[in-house]
Amino acid sequence: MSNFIIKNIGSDRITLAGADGTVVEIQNQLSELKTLLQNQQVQNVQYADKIYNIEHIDEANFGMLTGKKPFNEHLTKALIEHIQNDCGAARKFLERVAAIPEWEAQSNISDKAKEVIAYSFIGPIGTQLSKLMAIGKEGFSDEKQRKYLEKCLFIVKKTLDLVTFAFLSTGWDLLKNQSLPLTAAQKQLLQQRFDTAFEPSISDQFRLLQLLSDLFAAHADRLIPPFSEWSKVAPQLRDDSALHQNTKQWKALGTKLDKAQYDVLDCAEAERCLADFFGHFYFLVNYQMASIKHIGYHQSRNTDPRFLHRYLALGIDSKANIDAEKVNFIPEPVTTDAVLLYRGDYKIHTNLFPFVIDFNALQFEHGAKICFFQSKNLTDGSLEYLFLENNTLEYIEKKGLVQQGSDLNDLLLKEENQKIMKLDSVVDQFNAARACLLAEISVDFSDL
Amino acid sequence: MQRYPFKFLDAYTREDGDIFFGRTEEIDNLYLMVFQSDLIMVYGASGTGKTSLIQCGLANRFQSHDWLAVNVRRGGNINESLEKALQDAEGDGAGIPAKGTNPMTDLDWLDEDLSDATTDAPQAAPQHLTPLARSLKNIYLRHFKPLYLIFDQFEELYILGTRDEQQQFIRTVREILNVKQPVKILISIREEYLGYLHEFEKAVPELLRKKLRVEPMHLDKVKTVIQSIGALPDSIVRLRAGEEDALSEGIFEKIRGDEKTLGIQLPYLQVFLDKLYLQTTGDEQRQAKAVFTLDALRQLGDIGDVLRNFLDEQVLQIARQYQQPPDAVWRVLSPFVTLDGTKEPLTAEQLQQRLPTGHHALGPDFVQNTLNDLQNRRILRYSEQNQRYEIAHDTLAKQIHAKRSDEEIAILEVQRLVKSQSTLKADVREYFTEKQLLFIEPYLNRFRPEAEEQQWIAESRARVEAQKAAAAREAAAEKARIQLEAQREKQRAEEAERLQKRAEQGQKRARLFSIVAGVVAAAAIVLGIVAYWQQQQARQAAREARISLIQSYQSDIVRFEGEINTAKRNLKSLQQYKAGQDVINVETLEIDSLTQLIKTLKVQIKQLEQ
Repeated sequence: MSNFIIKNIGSDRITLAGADGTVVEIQNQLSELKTLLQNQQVQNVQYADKIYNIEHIDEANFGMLTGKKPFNEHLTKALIEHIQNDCGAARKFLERVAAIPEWEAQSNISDKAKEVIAYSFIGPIGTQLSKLMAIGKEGFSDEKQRKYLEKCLFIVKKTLDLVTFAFLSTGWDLLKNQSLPLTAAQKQLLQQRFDTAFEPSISDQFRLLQLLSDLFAAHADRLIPPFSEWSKVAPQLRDDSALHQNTKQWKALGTKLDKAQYDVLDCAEAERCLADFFGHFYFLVNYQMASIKHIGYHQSRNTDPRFLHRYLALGIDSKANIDAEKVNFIPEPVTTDAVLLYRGDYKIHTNLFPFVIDFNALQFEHGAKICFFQSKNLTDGSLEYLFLENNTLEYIEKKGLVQQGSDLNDLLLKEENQKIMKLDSVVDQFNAARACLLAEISVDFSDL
Repeated sequence: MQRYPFKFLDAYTREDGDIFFGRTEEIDNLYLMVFQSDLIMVYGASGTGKTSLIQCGLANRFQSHDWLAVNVRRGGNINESLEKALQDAEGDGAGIPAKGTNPMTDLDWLDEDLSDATTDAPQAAPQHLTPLARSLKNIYLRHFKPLYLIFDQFEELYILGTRDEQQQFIRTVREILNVKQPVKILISIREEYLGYLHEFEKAVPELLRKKLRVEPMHLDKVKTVIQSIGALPDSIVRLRAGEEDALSEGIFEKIRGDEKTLGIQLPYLQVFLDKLYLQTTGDEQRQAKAVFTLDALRQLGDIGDVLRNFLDEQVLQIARQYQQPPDAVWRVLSPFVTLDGTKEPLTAEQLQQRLPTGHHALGPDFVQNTLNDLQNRRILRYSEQNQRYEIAHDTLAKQIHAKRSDEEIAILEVQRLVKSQSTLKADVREYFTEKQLLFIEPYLNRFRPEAEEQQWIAESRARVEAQKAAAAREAAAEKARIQLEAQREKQRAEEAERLQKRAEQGQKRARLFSIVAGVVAAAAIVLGIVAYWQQQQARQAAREARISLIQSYQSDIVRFEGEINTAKRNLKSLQQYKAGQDVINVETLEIDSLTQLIKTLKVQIKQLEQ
């Protein structure tokens, strides 16, 4: 059985060539294509070096194949609907388009929805969604399909990372020097995230999130989840739940990507899966992130001290100008070098450091360089952080500048030393969090 | 597919990533800066490859969905060029319609910032965007990519731009830095113009916070470039095996010649490599495979200034082709270079105005053919965006500038002088002075001033003539006034002389009488003076004796005080080393007796002074 090859796709007509060289022109409709292939007893159709089984083509992905339906059309509509209850901008948008049929097919309106999504989703995730929208707008090519799949997977992984890091950070803050009773299996699973030499798979991430959610539920007297909406998400972490199925689909798509066996139908599948995924994690639009760049201390004689926090709100609109940083002059201190996750007012927050770091803040630079912990070099203990903007790794190893008997004042005189010490503190804090959460011995930081 | 790996005088672009070598360190630094500031300055000498570093090196660090570059050259006005470049990036039909411009559908709300309306206030007033903010928003909505505004050859704003243009641009940059969308600004400027940015920096403090200096190519980097190109799988140029290092060093030495500079400029390297290729293959189509060898390099001989020779050759060939003297081709090139030896992009119309007139005039066909030839030979470029021709590189502009005659320079100076006023608004324009007109007028028939310029020169001349006539009238009136004043002065002098004579006669009579009376009085005075003098002499002697005694007492007091100090030091030392009490007592007594003595002397001095 030979293939039909699609030679040209116009807005109304599709031109195909049979194996014997005969050229056929049909209307640009899936039913027409199916009828043609059925009549010719052909199962596959080839387009742009990819072979598609007609059984795998449905109305949704046929539009993407023929270019009639742009990438992200379905995702945009689904996301804006998922977040409407938690996001005023999305709600307002939907009110405006209520009377416009198929608004998602009108590019200027759909673009406005994409903008709402990119600006509403929590910092790094909003930025990544914007990149996905950018890929969707590129011309059709094999590279576009690859990048689209990669970005979808990336967004899912980083969203799971963010949620996981929020749990780990909250757990560490609440437990402090206490410890949780862990079974060997639980400890092993938790330890894997700290002591992994490779980026964890989506399955690993899902299982870790399951564990953390269970631990928080089991110790609800001591542990409060970092997200107030978690009670709605937790049931979705059961095996064979919709979310679990979703992670399995991502695994399959990841395999296709690794083997370079993807096509546009997989992109359509990824788009659907991403929309479903955010059907569970829609609540992230309620949260913001900020990087603490600098903390000043002010106390006039006989008055209470106040702290001047200089921070940078993270998101698609975060700037690297000097005057882009905001200030907060309040009596409450905040942790140095913190990357905060908060809802509304950042005074109540989860500090994601050292799982999420702003590399620029650690180097006294303006602008945010948000990096997520990815893996650990098991030989030398150095940590690998992924810079989300471009998928490059920052390697942080402890230099051990501060030794027994070191004169801290003398060391701190030099800015370069301060930078080294800040990076050292990333490793120290990471190890401290690990020791606390894995119920191992605590690390002594009294020399710092 | 195999390709020719040299760019000649063209800058490297994003598509040339595979043949762009030797700038890894600079690219790394620049890439780092992009995440640390929204405004980055790239500076360096002409020919160091600033443009290539941004448009190829940096651009290739980004994936296509992370990099939307909008290149802006000044053209006729940097603000207008920016506006046009943004319009092009917006495309047509996309994005948000301007408020009230879409009567068919009620889509004005697309302009609203819905994120600000999260308070659910249904009547929240939509924010109206400035045209620039709207444009940037539309570009973002069209692409969803971070926008990189690249201002190349930024020195043109200061060489050719007006103050108004500069001020407006500064305001624009401030606005861009504050828009919500991800927009970054990269400015590339020749380092000798950094000083011009003083005012810009005052308004935009982050202007020079993140800056990268692009150094000329040193030997190591030249080696990297040549050897990497030679090793490229799809390059038609190879280096003979075993000669790679010697070839790279030889090329470097030949280009820097006798000057022995530490680095060389990229255009020189590119033109040289092209020359070596042609020497090796003779293929003007640049399709034949070539193997660079030391022998071929040696055969090139002493090449002198690569770029100057290249330009001379090209000009000569064009001149021969059209049977014109080379000078005619130089005259076509000359207007594209400023008096400072930098590039000046020109429209065909502007070029026509600047070409010589009179007996030096060039035929329109010759000019157009020469422009085409210069383009084909990659000496000139034509920008469709700005519709302007320009010299391919500033390094060529320098060579063209060096070829100018004194007369040509004078004409250009006249043109610049005329332009300096005509480009100003009428209400701030100043008339040319007579001295300036004397400089301008002999050359007026050698170029084509615009109608407005001609009118200003004529008005200046008329004003000068009117001023001269007024000055002549004023001079005549002054002369008459001076003559009248002189006559009056003469009369006053004669009257004074008459009065003087009368006074002198009276004085003679008075003098005789006073001589007689004076002799009698003088005798009495002399006797009185002698008696008084003797009395004063006696008083003076007594006073001097008292002063001498006081001085003697004061000298003693100083001496005694010194001795007291010495005694005190001794006493301290004795106490420190725990000497015997008897010794300490001796010193104490000494101090007391000297102190008493000083007191007595001071009493006596007081009495003497009374």
